[in-house]
Amino acid sequence: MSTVGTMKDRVAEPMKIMRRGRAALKTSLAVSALAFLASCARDAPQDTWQPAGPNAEQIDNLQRPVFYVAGVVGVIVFVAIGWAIWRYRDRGQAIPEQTHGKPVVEIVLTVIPALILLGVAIPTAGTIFKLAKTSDTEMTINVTGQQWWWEYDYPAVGSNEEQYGITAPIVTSGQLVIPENTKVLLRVTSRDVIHSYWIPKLNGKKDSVPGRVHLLRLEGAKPGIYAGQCTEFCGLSHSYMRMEAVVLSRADYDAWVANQLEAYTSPAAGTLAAEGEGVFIQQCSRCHQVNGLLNADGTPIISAPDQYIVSGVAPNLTNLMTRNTFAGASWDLLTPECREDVWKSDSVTFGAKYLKGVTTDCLNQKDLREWLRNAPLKKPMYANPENLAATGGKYRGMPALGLTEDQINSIVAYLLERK
Amino acid sequence: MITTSSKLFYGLGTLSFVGALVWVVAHDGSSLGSVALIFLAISLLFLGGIASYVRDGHVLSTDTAAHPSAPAAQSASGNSWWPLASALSLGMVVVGLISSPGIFKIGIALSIAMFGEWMITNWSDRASANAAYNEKVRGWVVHPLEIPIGGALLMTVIVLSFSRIMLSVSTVAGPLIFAVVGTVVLAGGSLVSVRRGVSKRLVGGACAVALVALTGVGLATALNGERHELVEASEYDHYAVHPCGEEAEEYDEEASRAVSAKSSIAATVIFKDGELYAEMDGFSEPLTSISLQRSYDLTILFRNESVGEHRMILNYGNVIEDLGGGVTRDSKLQACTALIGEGGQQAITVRIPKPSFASPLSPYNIVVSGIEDSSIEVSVP
Amino acid sequence: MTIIERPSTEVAIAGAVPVGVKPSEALGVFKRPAASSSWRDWVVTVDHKKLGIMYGVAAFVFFLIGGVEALLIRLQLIAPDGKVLNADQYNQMFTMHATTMVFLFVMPMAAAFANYFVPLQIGARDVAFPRINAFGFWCFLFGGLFLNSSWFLGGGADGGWFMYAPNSSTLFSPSHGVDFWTLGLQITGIASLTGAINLIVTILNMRAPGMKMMRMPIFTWMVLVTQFLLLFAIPVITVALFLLTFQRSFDATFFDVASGADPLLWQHLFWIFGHPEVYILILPSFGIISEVIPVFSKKPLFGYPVVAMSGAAIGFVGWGVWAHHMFASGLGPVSVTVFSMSTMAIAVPTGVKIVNWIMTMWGGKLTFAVPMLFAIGLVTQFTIGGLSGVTHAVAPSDTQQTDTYYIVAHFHYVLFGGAVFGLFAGFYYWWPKMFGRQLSESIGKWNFWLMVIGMNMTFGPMHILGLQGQPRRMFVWTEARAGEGLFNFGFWNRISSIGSFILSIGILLFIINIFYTHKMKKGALASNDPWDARTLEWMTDSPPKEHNFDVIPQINHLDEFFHRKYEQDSATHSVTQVHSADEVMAELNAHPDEHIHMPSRSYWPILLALSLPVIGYGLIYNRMLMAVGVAMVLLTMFGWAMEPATSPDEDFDPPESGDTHAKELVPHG
Repeated sequence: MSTVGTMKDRVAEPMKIMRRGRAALKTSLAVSALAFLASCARDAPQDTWQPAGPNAEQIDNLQRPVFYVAGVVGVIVFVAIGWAIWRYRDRGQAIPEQTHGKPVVEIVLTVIPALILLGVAIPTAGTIFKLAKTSDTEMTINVTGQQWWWEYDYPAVGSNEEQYGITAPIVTSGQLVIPENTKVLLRVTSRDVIHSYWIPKLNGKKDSVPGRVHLLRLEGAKPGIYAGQCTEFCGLSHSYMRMEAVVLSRADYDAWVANQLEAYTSPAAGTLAAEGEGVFIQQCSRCHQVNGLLNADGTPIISAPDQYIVSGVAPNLTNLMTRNTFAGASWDLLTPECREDVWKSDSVTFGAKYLKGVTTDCLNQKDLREWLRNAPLKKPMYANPENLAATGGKYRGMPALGLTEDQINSIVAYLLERK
Repeated sequence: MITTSSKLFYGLGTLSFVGALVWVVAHDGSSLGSVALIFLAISLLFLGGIASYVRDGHVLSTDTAAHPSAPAAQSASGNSWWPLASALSLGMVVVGLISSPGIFKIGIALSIAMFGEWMITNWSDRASANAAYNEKVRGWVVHPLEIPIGGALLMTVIVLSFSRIMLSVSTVAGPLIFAVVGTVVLAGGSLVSVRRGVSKRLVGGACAVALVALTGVGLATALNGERHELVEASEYDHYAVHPCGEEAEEYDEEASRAVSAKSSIAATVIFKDGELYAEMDGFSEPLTSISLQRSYDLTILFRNESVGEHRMILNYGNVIEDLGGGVTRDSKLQACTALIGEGGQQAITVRIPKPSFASPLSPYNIVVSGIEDSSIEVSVP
Repeated sequence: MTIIERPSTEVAIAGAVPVGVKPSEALGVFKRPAASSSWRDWVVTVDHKKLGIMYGVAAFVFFLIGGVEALLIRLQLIAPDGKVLNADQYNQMFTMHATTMVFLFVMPMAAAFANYFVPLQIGARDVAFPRINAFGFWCFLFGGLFLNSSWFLGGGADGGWFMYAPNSSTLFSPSHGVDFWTLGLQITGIASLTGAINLIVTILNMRAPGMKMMRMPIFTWMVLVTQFLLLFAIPVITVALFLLTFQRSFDATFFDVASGADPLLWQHLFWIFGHPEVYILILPSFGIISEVIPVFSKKPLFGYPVVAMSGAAIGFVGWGVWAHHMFASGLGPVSVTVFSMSTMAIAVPTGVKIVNWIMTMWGGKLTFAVPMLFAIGLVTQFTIGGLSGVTHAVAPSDTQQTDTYYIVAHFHYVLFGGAVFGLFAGFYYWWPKMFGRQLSESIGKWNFWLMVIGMNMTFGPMHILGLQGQPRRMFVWTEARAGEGLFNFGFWNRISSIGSFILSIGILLFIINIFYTHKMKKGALASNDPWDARTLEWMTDSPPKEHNFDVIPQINHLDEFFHRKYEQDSATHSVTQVHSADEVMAELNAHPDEHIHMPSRSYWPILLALSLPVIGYGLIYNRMLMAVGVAMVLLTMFGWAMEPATSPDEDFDPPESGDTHAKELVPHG
């Protein structure tokens, strides 16, 4: 090889490599973006990249460009490292000049990231304040966390009462039901430890802290069921503290409210359910409120969970079977087929299917019965009666009640009518 | 080897140990005093061990005839102030007996300390024939007690004086004083560390002057008393929930300074122009009907914006106690604020155990004492 | 300094019959231990190098314990509704994994390197307070053992390493795990605090003549910044832990809402400590690779003053970002915005470092020995972690990501890909200096690649899992929330679990490498300067003598050693070697220092440290035991204060004439 040729090669080499580098950059960007998208699970219920309401969309509109910018910066850095490794590997070249660098390079390479970050910072601040806005609230719901489930109560005050027909307080748990395209404000708090309320497709999370009321906006753009999970570690059964937000069309929502406010009707005498009512009063109503249940003397039965449970409440079961899940939304009340039918239905038919509640055919007997047989075996809880010294004899969670199979049959029959 | 001074420590140590046993018997198993005494015993026995091991004198200190260089033949190393100090302490005991138990107790403590020091000094003066060594020996034995106790006393004086000053000045002056003193100390310290030539006398003198000044001002402010908010707060304990009827007669004008008010307020109840209404996060309009959760530590802030003093009362049902034998007692559940003057506010934290529909006969509400026609309906689902 | 010695009565008086006691007998049990070659020497040593090695060994053992905990976690999560652990065990596992890795591995491992190499890098013969140094190590060790003893005494702490109130109260965590946790961390906190003071004083006061601050090796710089962070951060966590201890043991109500308190107080205290802690973990590793990259690039560190100052900047700004751990905890929008901005601001000095490492390599003459591989590994993996960090500096997006696996992915890229890779770079780089043998390069390369592949398989998928909504700290995940398709949560969790085992094989290879090198004697004997390095620690023997340097060198340059070996032509900038390392050393040691003063060994540091866990057990089980512990503290402090300033035996002898290496041991520590 001639000397001239070598010289030419030397000059040409970096140019070629730069061209090649640019092409490689483009390809690798495209490939990595594709690879990332293709490598995600389809229809993950808690996907933070599939917003289904304006709050989550605001976050999404902010985070997508940030991820892209981060990706581009990452690729540039990696290419630079790769280039340095390849180009400057020891090929017998002379020991380089011992220099601590040029201030100009230093300043430029500091200013560029600072500018990028400034570009990110401005929209971030805007979004923070947009998400914190509460003045245009249309409906307010109290959300209270406790080990290991969520309670929702819909106060019968203000616009709730005037515009949504909530004439008496509605207390429910696990599944939050809200009307579509309505700016709902959650007043989030806790009765025991810190929890965090998170429905990824509707908004980011907000901690529920005892003694504090935190405000969280939710708004669903179309009917459907949106999964969530307590995301602040809250003790033993943190994994089993789940929840869903159910978005209904306005008409369906009115129907739901009307159903929730319906007066209690006792099961027909002589049925298994009527027998179950007796067992329920005897075994369950100490902690679980069913509105409308009466004592023998005609006074309402008032549960007193504050005497038995640290958090002082147990889920209100008045309309249990209008919900799809139980025990901290950790198990389905619907059989897998029925669940599929409701959860996967399109937004037009969803409302009607959800409002049907749990029917006898659709009831997930297995999990509900296992729960009634021995709740702490199914979901870890502090419910060992011999081990309650720290809590002064109170349980955290539901103890095993030692119910007989007959009792369980009758309770299941009774609960099936709670809708 | 059982040496002269170790005898003292062993004896005292044993005495403390016996004292600990006596304490347990006398106080019916209560352990706190005996733990303290066992501590004392361990410390004293340890000091005894030290004294044994440093072998305080191979020549009997009383044996003046044994050798001209024996310790007992040497003159004492200098003037001793301990007899005088001991006498003064004893005087204090006497004065205390007549006047106040506080002075008596301080006198007792001082006497013990002075006699102890006197004893140790006398012993160490005869420990050997070498005065410098004797001084050192004294240090070995008493410095481990003198230095920490002296340091603790000094710290106590500083902390007490400074805290008295901070408690008596206004809340605006407090941070200012803190900042200025902090800056001066930091600047002075930096100066000393940078300019190493500064004489020890100068630094020591400055510290001494500062200490005297601090103690003086501290004493003066202690006599002057705390600022009036604090006096009231301790008198009436604003931060506790009192049963209605026993609540404070004064109120905290700045309830938002209370820790409880710094975490969130579930509802702010305002009494303005004879009207009672509530403000809650998440509701834009004033409410005359509010919803609160059961079994939850909620904080309600009451603000009086009307003329005159008013008290907020939260009624949350009644509780029926079974006293046995068919006798029951029905008592009302209430939470009250103090009488709040115009512009004042107070936060109360309360936990409502039962839902409001449990008490059809005594509805849950918030009222203001003396005002019949204005109330806030409270719903607890 | 004179030894406190009892003069015999007779001798004091004009030389009568000398029946007095000899100085060495004067103080009975307070004699300082003599040098020996057995294990006893390690127990009583105050030598910074021995302590550094012990820090390293102990920290590595805790690393393995924490690793086993991690593997159990990954085994549990390999499939939905895992059955390997129950909820209680799982909660203990992730709490102790984090606690162990942060407090018992990364921090003390950084302390190991700092202890061993800071005095060598600044040309000192030991640290400023050798006994306190030893005390710090024993506190760390006993604190760590105390903490881990909870496994055998009713289970570990179960509240997460962040231990949020009120879940940490006895009401919600009735076992003694949290008590062991608070007290164990208090004890190891003493180690960090004393270590910080010791190293700060050492670095500020004991540099070799001519070594200005801006001539200090960058590792020493980063250690200095880290120690200042520790000095201010440890008191904060100490206060928080005291509050928690009082809440649990003495019914205090610092976090109790019913008493008017606010549970968020704990979060603020914890994160005011916790965020600087992150920089405490990462900065020493930054320092290590800032040594390694120049050596293997044959170039000085690009922008040395900028790297040093950006380290200091991180040290300052690091105090203003704590609430970014609390974006979801209900702060107002103004605070959230401020902390969001400050968090982005801290990305700038961090980014500067990455740029400087790349620019150091740029135009260099790179060789890829294992230390360099780990250093480049750090640069790349930390870049990923840093960029994912920027995505959650954006507070609204953080409310979606916090407490999901995305965060787990982020901080493992930062702390494993960052801190741990840096430490491994340090192992391979400094091993020949510390132990006199070269670790096998070929096993080392396997070690590196398995760790890189393993860590990316383990933590890479967690980005996807987190963004698709898998929360952290859950002992089971459910198929109902796992999504569909081939790449559902099941797939990625499996990849992650498999990756964690590949990762652990990589780490196992490191242990095998040590056995291969030392037990099987396969590793080549190391020369004094095997990497053609630039800083002072290479200008001494491998391993260094007890007194480090025969001669304390005069420093005229940054990278002094390099400048003694090489010369650069001022006109052509061509660099030529003028001396070999051995020549430099021979020239330096031609006139060794006389009267080298080294600190004496002591029993008391270990005894004092040993009495602290006694107080801890006392607080948990029986208050009388506390009294015993306090008495032990009192006695050992007494012993410490009263022991003679120097060893009893040969140390009093004047150096024999001609023997220039004789040591006269004088008081210190």
